[in-house]
Amino acid sequence: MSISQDEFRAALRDVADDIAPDTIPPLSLPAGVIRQPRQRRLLTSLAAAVAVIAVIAASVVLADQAPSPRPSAPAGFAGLRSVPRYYLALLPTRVNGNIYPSADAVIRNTVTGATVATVRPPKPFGRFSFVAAGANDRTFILAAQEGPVGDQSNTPARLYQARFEPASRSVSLTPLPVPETPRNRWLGGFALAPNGAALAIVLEYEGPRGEFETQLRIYSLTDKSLISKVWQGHGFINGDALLGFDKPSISWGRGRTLAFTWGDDDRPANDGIWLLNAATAGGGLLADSRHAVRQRVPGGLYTFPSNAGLLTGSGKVIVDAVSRERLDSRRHYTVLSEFAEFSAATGRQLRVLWPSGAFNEWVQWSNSSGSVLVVAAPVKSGGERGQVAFGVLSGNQFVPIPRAPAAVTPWGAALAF
Amino acid sequence: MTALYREHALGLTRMAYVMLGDRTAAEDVVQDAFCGLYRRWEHLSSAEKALPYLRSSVLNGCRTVLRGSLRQARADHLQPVVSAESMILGQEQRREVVAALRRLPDRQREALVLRFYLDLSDAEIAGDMGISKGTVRSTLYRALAALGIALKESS
Repeated sequence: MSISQDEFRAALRDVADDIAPDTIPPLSLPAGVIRQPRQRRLLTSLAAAVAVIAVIAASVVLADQAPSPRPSAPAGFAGLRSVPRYYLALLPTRVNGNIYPSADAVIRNTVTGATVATVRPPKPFGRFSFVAAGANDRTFILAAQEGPVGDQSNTPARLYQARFEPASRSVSLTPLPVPETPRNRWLGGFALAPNGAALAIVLEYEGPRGEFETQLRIYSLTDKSLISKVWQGHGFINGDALLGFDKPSISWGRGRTLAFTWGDDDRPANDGIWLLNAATAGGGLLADSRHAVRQRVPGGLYTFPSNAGLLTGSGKVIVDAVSRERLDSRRHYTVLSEFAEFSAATGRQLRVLWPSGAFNEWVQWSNSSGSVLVVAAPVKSGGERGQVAFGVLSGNQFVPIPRAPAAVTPWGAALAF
Repeated sequence: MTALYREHALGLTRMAYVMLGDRTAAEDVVQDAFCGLYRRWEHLSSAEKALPYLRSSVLNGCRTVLRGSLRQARADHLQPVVSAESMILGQEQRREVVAALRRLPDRQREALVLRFYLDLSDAEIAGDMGISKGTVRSTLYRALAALGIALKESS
């Protein structure tokens, strides 16, 4: 039998019409665990969640019991001075009506918000796509890719280190001694070890059956051998491609421990924060790692982290934004969110750092002990939930960072401290 | 969320049903997709991204269902419920076409359904499937060829 394309189209519609319009069951949001759809299919531009929250409010009751962020502090607030002095950002820019990260990166003073330097991608690259923190507050790692701003293809990425010299306000850009990412791999994130000796890179790709595969590579930066170790896993590390690259996807602790937040559609029990023993020779990503914080924890119907839990430099605690779902007597969902600290050893929640009370927040940076964080959180303005903004969280006090780029944009913030 | 469901649940359920041949499984996949969207809603770039997200979720959900051997066996033996109109068009031919579609590899089946059932463009299919537009075209080409071979074999 052979058929035309029109006959094929008609056959599909005939079958589809077996489902009559008035026979669709009503939407039912179950109280139990909801399997996560694979996010990485949506490698497109990103998200203004404020409007989104307004829409979801029709069916979800957001708990608003948390204390509102205290008013912005004076410029001299100690919290602003306890985080890295400079940060690097890819600011949003508009191209053909869509918003993308700008080709250039800017370095800003955290306390004053002043732009102190601009970093331009070296030729032949046309844009910086992703950024990460360097070994100190004056060095940063950037991924440069070919193509103009707005090009979202997975062209090979070359990694550079940018070193800012405050006295001269100059920036030197040096290629890192690691190979370009392969053409058929998506760059999912990278992180420099605290001692600057190793670089972890996440690469993602689609397997032969359409399954999502993740490869984590660690390159030594202290010798010239370029020897890398490779771990492989069926699933994805949640830097959250859906959001672009605005959340750190991996983080280093003391020694050779690397934290990553894992998602696996086929085995949701594996979801959560894992700690990789990077001293192993490489192999299975989960086999060489320990499941430190599971997604479900007591105290809620369902608890899910922000997909960007950070292991602090001490290696003792994991800080994350978590949300808990509850069902009230009227079967309305209540969502409670908070920044919390977990034991890296046991996975148990140690304390609530700040009950922020709203969706859409994450930890961007932490000091070594976890006592001072840079977080993205919705700030209140005139009693209303406002824009998600970056700020310093210390001692239950949130102080917005002056002139920080919006935390949630159609692309994502692409920020590095 | 409710408005989105009212607007798109039928189309998505039909799409899942075309791929699965199992109405209950199709409804489950669509429910899961909406639940996933609900959980991820605050991360979406804009409301207009919701439908591509749902389509991707439904595609992935259908893959998961088809991978289950029990479900696969059920799907293989399911006979589509036939409407009066389709009986006029040829019940047996339709059954064979859709059965052949369901035997194709995931990517080929999904590309065909997105193109010939939903009439999506190459760019929209690429966005939903997470592949390039060039891959969409080559996948569709191979899928149509594979479908033709499968139909010849079945006859």
